[in-house]
Amino acid sequence: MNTAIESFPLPADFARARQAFATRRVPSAAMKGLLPGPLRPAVGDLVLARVEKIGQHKQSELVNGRKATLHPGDLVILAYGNRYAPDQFEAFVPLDLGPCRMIAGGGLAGRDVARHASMAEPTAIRPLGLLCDGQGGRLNLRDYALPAAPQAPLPPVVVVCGSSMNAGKTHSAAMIIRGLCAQGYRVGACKVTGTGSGNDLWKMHDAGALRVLDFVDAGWPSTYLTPLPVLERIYTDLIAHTAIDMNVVVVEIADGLGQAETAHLLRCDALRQTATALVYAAPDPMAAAAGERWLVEAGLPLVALSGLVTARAEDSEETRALVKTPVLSAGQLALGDAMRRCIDPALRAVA
Amino acid sequence: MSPSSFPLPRGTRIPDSGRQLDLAQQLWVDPEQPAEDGAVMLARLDADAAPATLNLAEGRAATLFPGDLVVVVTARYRAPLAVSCDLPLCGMGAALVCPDGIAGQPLPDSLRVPSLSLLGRVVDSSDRAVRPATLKLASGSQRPVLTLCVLSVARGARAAALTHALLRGFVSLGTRVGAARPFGMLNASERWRQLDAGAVAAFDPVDLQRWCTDGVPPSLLWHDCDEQLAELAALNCDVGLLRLPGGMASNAIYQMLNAPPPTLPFDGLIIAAADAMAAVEACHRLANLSAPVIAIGGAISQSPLAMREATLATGLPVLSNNALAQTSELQRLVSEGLQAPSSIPRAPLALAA
Repeated sequence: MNTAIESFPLPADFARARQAFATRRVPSAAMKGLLPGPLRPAVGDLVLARVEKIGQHKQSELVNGRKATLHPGDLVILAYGNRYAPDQFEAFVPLDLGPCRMIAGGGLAGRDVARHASMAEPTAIRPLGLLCDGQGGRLNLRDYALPAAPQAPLPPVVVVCGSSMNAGKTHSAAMIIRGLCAQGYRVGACKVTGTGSGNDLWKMHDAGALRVLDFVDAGWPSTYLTPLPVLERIYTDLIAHTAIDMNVVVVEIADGLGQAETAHLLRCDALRQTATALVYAAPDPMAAAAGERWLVEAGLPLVALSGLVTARAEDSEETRALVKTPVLSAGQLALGDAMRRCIDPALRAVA
Repeated sequence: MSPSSFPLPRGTRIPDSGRQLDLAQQLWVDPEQPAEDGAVMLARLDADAAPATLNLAEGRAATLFPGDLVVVVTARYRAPLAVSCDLPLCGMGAALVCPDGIAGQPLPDSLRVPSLSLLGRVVDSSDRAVRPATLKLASGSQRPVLTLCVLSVARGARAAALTHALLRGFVSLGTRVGAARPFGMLNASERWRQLDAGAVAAFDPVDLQRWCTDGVPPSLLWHDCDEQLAELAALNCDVGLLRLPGGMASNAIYQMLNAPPPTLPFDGLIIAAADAMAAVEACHRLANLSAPVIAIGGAISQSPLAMREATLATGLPVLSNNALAQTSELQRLVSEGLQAPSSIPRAPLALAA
């Protein structure tokens, strides 16, 4: 969205502004001025804000992954976005540039409407204006998204989803990546839904993934309330980009099966036609059983249950008594054998 | 009386596991009687053991120092989130695996827990091994006018806090309410919190001397529920809160739900869940039993988004502990969620209001 209105110069201390990870695709050189007027921000708009009061998020993750400690008065560069995080906040893009909150450490600005009981109030910020280019046009993540995905046969795709936030999805994905790397595969990874943050991406990178992308690379700071056709396009584009020169792609889908976008994505044709194998992470035996039922009924290629439920031997045993799908611990996923058995036939088919 | 027997020394600490001991009678210690499951033993904290916390029968958490004497119950004890134990191996070495006074061979061996020397079995003047008294059931068919079951879907679902909130709500309504937890980990502080909140009585596994449910037939576990509820009825409780701990996938609950009695011993069931998907699965499975699930609570209620997910998927209200502790919410839950059994002769006055 490029609204050409008069812009104001950047503040003198702009060079010290902390650019958050979720805005990483926009080079700071593109930030030429501020649009402070009575504007309605949109999802993905970049905002320059000053920290007013430190709350839940005491750090902001920078573009390079370092978590910088925040202090009142610091300048931050964030992206407006909606957030769905059952263990943290639900938040929406505000209707104006008035005071709001930093609703994710990865760098999202919004107004929180609900929060988990264990959360403090989000860090309060005062927007100074939307960041704009030299022509006064708003800077939005979508303008810096990856180009259209190349059309090419896809390698096997391993999808990791879960019952909820903090079910162990990313850890499972990282262990799958480790296992596949150990088996000699070139592994790419992407996170197709969620809230912009480097935590999960760095874990997958550190586990050995040669290319790691997320929805920010597709132009979205988060995927909550994203129109469903757009969501499918994000999925399709990201796996296509991730797959270049790889012989397997590991995809993480955020949140749980009760979350609208997650449920939609898992049922959509784009995913069903590309997913070779699916691993489901759950925090407890009953959530594992619920997920198995849901995914099997949806006709998805569920090959393993994992996640936090496998951290305790008792929970693993109880889960095995409830389900038919193999229950694999993180250590078992990291061996790579189980995943190799799932993806080798698909790999041969591609070849 | 064995020649080596000696009187139970004065000053011996009596923990919560021994709270049913009749201390009015003269008790002795027979060093020749071995430890066995459920045996009441005299023990001494070893000289090289670190000071240990002991929850005394009267409720205070005392510090036990090396050399201190303590009464313990030796048992096969299972505590999934803490230290479990088997019966002591040969000899009289053991460890205090639970601050409520359970001793045995810790599982696994590597866990560091205070070591004890067992000095002998506590006996009466006729050299008969004493056992803490258990509940005496006059009639197994009685239960409080209204009985609600709090079923933990998984460990960590905060069912204890949910039960406590319900208790506070019913006390605020002016009802005589009692709590029953027939098995599960020992937790004296949970019982004291319930009593402090106004429970007429709060029963736990100590009252049944049931330290481990492994291998116990489900019919017996259901019987234990009946027994504690009957005791609450005998105490004229209008409302009984029956807590079934350990999670629906735990062996005990799994077996119980697969072999339910002809009539479930409760009028309504509230499940404590940690996340929405677990709550959905619990409702799905309980529906097959025709169990009257009326609400969801527990850890899930800390997250407004998880509450919304669970309500959308199940159609049931998800209530926070604060809501359950409020009389208006509790009255609405009871009046809308429950079909009071016709056999109930009267309704608690406050609930009928």
